[in-house]
Amino acid sequence: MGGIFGALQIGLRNLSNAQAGIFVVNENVANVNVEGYSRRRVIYQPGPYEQRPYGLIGSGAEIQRIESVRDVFLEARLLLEHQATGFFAGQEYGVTQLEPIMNISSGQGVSDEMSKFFDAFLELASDPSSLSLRQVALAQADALASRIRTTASQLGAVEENLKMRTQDLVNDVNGLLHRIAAINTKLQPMLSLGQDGGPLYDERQKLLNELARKIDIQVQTDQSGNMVLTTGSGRLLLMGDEANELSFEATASDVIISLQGEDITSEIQKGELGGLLAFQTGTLSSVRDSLNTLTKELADAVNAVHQAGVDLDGEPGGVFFSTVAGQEARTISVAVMNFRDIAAAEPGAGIGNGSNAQAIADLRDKEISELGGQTLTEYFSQIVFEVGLAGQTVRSSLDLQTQMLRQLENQRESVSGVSLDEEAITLIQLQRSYEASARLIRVLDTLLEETINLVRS
Amino acid sequence: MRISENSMIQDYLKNLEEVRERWFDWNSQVSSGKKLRKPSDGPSESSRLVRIRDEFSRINQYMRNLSRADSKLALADSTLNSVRNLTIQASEKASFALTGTTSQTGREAIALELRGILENLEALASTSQDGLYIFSGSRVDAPPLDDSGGSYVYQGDDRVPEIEIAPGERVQVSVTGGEIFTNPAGDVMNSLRRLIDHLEAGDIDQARLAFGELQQGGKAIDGARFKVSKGITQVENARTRLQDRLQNLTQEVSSLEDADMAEAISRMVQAETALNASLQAGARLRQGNLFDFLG
Repeated sequence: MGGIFGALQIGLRNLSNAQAGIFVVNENVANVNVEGYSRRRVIYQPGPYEQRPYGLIGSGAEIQRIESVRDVFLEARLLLEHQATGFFAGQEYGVTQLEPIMNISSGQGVSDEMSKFFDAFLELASDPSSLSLRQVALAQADALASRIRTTASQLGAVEENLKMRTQDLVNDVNGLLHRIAAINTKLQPMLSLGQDGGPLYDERQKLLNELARKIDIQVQTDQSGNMVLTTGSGRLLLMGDEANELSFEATASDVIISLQGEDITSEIQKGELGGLLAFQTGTLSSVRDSLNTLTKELADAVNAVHQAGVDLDGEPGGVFFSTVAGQEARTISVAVMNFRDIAAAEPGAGIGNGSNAQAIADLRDKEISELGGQTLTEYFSQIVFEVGLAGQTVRSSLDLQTQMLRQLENQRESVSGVSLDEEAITLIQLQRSYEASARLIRVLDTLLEETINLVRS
Repeated sequence: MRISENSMIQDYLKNLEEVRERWFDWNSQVSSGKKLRKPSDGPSESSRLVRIRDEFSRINQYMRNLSRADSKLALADSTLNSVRNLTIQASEKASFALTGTTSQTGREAIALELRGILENLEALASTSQDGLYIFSGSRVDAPPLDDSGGSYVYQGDDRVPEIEIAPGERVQVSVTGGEIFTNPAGDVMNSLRRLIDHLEAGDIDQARLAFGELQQGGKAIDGARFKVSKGITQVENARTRLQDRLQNLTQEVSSLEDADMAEAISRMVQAETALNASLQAGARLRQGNLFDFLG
């Protein structure tokens, strides 16, 4: 269409184009603080051309589409990094609770009480008939047993806490799956029409990131455009708008996470869940087992020596520490009730003989093959080393991983984030083009008036 | 690179968090005086600390054992000195009684004195510390000598109490009564008693025999005194060694565990400056944008 009316049409379109642009600027500015929001922009294109003998004549500009600016490759990488970061975060959650239990700076730990226990017998050996030294030795043995029990029950408390945290995470994962499914019901039809989904897509991406932080996932799309979400091991979590829930079950010793009736606990390798599970089956259970082994060897060694000696009344010594097999650390207690029953002497000797008390004190240096040829104290120091190393490794990995994630997030922000300065400039552009179009329309109006006046005169 | 509003704020917050963390870390080193506050602050140092603490505690116990050994040995030593002095006195008096010029009355008078010495020896044999007889071996609850059968019999055993004063090093804190008072090589108690009886009875030849045995007994006591004084030297040597070790350990514990204050404080101040700068930068963040200038 040519002529003045055609030109007026172009002007009108220009005005509405500028309005749409301003609308989008407004939307971007409004969402400047919304997490995960991808800035939107209007893509304009020239309108259709008409072929005239003298060449092409245009019909102004039109809006091709309004799109969100995003980099899908960055977003896919972000999902991966979230899984790795979550893994270390889960481990760090565990180790942060474990470390205070193995705290050595207080001077009140298992190793300190063990030192005092051996000291007490070393002293008793120097004056074996002394009733007060016997009392001290018995009290110190009691303090050691009680410290070991406390430590074991603190480990148990950490374990319970981690189980609860695991359950929370499973609930979170299920919640997220349902929310993603709900978004898919609205989003997928848009996507199948070739639209970009806008903020709805952003919202889903945000939820996917949250999900990836908690569990390892893979995202695919099937032929009919449905989103297919699987676990890292390929089990179906979500298909389009249908989510499969994880279920959680805690037994006395274990945590079982299952999907559609199948135990997938060991398949979860990443995300916070993966980290927590790895920590529970790794460092935590190794520390718990080591403490049990230590307690068992301590009790066995002391009992064997104690039973070979005689007490203040010349009677053979009984069991010194009693434990329940399999849960030594939790159950250790001193079986000797009366300090007269401490077998400090060797058989046949008088009450001034402290050989057996000395033999108990000497266990401090005994290299025990069940402890890998280490002494009791060395073995405990090994546990402290393991906990410390786990803490150090997990924290530095988490730091590194967080840096990576942060870089990626910055990169994503740099592509998709809203810059107010930029929006202001776009706004100026649009304002000017609106003003120019308005002025053009006024000129056309004048031209029209001139034309009409021609007829009148 | 395109900087969006969000990335500006997020980047700032994360940087601030890092600086704060660094500041807090140094601050807690300064306020606690410790650089090892949890095992992960230094896994191998922490594990070493566990073993050193054990040794530290153990050596302190050895120091207490040393004091106990010291006091027991001192008592044994002074008692043995008294015993030795009494036997020397007894020998001097006996040798005077056995000279030909001493009359029988004189001998009887000396025998009476000797009987006094014998009673003193008997008392010394029953020396006790905290109610425990020191010369009875491990039978500390009974006096070492029994003379209910007319002669002195050692009723203790030969397990002399030992005290460990350093790892694997033990010292005997006494000697047995059998070694001192009724040693078969020279039985002080029984020979002295026989000497007295023979002097009273005027049986000089028998008295000379008994006197000879008493002299032998004196040598046995010297042997026992030598053992005890060796024990005292051993204790002194151990004390010096343990004190040295204790000093080394104290230094080592401190170097493992204690923060280097000069460094920690200067790092904290450094971090504080960085923190202040970062906070000021934050106040300037997003102070304006192009919208402010649009008419």
